[in-house]
Amino acid sequence: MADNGTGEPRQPRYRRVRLMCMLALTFLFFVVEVVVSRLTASLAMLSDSFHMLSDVMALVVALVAVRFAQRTRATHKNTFGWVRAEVMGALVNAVFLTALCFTILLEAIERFTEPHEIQQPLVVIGVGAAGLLVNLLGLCLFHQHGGGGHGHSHGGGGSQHHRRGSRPKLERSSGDGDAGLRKEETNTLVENCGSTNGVNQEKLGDGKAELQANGSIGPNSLDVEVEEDSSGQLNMRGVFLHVLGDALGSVIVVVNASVFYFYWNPCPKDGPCFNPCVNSHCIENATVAPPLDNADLLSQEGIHVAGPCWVLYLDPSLCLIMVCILLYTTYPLLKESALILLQTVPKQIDIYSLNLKLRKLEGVEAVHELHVWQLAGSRIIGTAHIKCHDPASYMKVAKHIKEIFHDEGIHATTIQPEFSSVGSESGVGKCEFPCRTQCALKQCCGTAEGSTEKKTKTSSIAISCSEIIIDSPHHKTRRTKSENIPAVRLEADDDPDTQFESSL
Amino acid sequence: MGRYSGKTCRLIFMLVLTAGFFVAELVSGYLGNSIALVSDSFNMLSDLISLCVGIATGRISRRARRGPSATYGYGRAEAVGALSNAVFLTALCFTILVEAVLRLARPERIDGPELVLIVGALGLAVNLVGLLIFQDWGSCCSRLQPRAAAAPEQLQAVPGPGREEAAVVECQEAVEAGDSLNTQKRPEEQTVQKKEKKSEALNIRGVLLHVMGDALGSVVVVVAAAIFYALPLDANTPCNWQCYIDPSLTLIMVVIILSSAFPLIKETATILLQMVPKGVNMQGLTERLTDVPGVSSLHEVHVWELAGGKNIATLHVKCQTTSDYQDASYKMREVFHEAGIHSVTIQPEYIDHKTSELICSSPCISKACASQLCCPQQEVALTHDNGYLEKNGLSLTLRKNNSLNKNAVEIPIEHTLAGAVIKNTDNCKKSDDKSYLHSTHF
Repeated sequence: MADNGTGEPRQPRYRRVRLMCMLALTFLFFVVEVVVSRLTASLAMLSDSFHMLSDVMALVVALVAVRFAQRTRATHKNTFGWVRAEVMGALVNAVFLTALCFTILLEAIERFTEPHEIQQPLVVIGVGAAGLLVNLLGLCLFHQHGGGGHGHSHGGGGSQHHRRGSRPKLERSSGDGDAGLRKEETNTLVENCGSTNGVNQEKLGDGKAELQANGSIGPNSLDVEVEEDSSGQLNMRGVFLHVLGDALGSVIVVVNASVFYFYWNPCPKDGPCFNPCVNSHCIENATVAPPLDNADLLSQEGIHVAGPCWVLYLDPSLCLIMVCILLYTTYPLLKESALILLQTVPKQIDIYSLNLKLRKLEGVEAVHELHVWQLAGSRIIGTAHIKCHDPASYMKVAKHIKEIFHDEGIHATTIQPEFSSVGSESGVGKCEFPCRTQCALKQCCGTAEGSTEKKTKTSSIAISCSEIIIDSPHHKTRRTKSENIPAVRLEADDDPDTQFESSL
Repeated sequence: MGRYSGKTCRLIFMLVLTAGFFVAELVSGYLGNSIALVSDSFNMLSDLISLCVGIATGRISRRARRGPSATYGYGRAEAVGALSNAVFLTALCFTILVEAVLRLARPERIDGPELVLIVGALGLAVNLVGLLIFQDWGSCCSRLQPRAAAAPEQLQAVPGPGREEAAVVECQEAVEAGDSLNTQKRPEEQTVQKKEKKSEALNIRGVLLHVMGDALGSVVVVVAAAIFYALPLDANTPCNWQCYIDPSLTLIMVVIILSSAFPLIKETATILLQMVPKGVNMQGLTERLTDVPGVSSLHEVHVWELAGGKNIATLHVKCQTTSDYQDASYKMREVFHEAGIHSVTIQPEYIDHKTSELICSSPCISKACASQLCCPQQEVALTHDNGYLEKNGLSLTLRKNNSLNKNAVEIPIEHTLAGAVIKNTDNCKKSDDKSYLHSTHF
């Protein structure tokens, strides 16, 4: 909690500090590159500097997302808090990176058709090496996020919230279990970067301070840390991939410029020269027009031939390889964040078996409207409508239901009990508290297809368990009450013809 | 499967048109050796990509229904697709901006303005056709309306029977629960339609943005080429003001595109971040809910929009007895219904005097899961243990109200309590947990 008296939670703060460091560094380097490009009148450097600018934008997006996601409290605008901001930031970054890859691809294709020479390769090498350094620093900063879980410990602290032992087996959940404390960081650039199976110990120096600091934090901030850890993972992965892309770009720039410097014979400034690689119809500085394809003849005649040509094609080919690498590593992030935003069931949960387990419980007659979705990170939310015979049997079963959900890792559940009327067989399976029919379109799952629900044109309403409801197939509901509930009866009598439909 | 709504048909038509033009531009660019043409053709390519994304997400959201991997179906795919398109467009604008800045630093002239003019005009024509197609869609028939009599009247621009048929087919497909008693609920349905139009329009809007961006780009190309055609520049004269037209117009175009992309991003963010939908006033809603007799307190109230105007709510209610709950739940649904929220899940909790009124009686089974709840319970604990201000304020108010109204019904107390508590806790962590807004002791 950001405004807790004990200070900001460490995890997001370190994350923010890193992001801001990298942001400052990258922006500085961008400015340097722009200045150098003006001084040396090198267009290539200027365009490369804008890659840094795109990095800056990605970092800004990530920072904004981290800032937002710290507010886990419900507000009037957002009853879930803003924890999802990081997932959205990850998606935005992934799409942004894909778009950049697309433009790099287009540039590379253009370069294939029209190769450019590099002007002043030495300067380019110098600045490219500096950029590479900055990017490597960034990679180190965000390395843990790209590879595995982030390190922090939760030793010490006397609060009950520190106990993580009972956390269920989630592959994707944030750090949990003391067993996971000492997990090593894995240096995987590819998929499943976000799976934080444990809490890793951070690298030395930084880690030690964090360990100590964590020990003194109050319980609440620790919880927040751990939660935000895994959803922040996605966000940081996005940043990591951007920095990786930039690093690869710098590598390509350096390699290309060095190869160019060592292997390329440029045209001298004066004297006739022929450049077979560039598809121009004229020969530079030439007064005669020798046969174009005879390079030896040309050099014998004293006309300088620039070459070799493959050097010029190195740049676009390396760019293509880089684009492939980037797309390959970005796709998992894109998919993961999109799946969370689509309200899909988290991968580790099998809805069918959950449904089965719930239905097997004694006292549970039917289960419908079972929904499970992931808010962000390890916060999984479930809702279900459980049909029981009467309130007493529901109370017996309620705790078991929660346990079943808990075992699956779903801790925030809303269970709605519905009580079937006595002797109404067809009532089983239908939702007892539907909205009105006109809302069928606007219900979340308005048109039913699930195997546990049946769509019908009529429905029955159970207002209280003491009512006896008679199902009728044609637009009529009759109610008899064994108890006198005046208010409800009034309503029921007012609309004898109103249909209610099962909210399937 | 097998049914093509007007929407998909249009998207596919636009896709074919754009693909054809892309190929034509590419080929003519290589044949005519004009880099400008080739690069403009790549703008068409980005258009193609956005169209593909739009079609794919539209298909996903409409075809894939609930299943074991997505209990809500994939209705949100359109919002995600719209967001992707908007971000993609923003990134492209960024690169275009970079190129324009570079051009301003190093102005170049346009060679062969005739060819560029012709192809630019053709591209503009294609984009205008696309804009017209999708513009027409925006005001066209609302597909999802009840099959019964309402259908023809509520169709707005209806060009051609073919589309109407398609629309009716869509309607029939979507509304499997026909309801003939529409008459008193007509205004509701209209809002339903509008909202659904709005969210499907999200998808189309993403594509529309791209097409518009492309159209603006073509306009810039045509204008610049026309100037070069009308006032030709020799190869030897240095670049004069004419060379700066293109980049400056491009800058203006980028600003226009970005200013229309951001509202789309904001709208999709409202859905994707689980925010309270625009038409719902949380405070008023919770007040009305606590007005319902039988309700002792509420907590964990969540309202969010799935997609396309489908709002979902979940909440926990504390009641005294089961019959209280039964009556209250029906009325609460009515309150929600009036607020436009039709999928509600209510969890009853019965007051036992061991636990406080404010805390959820049935969170997960052990306290250790507290951090994995969607809205951690320790917030409530905080107010009782740490937040002296809130606690004192709260209990003071409670006690005060209790002493005044010992025999009164809960409702008036809740009102004043809500008001008083809001005042007390406003300066602190906002009204995060609804429980201490609407709870009473008796």
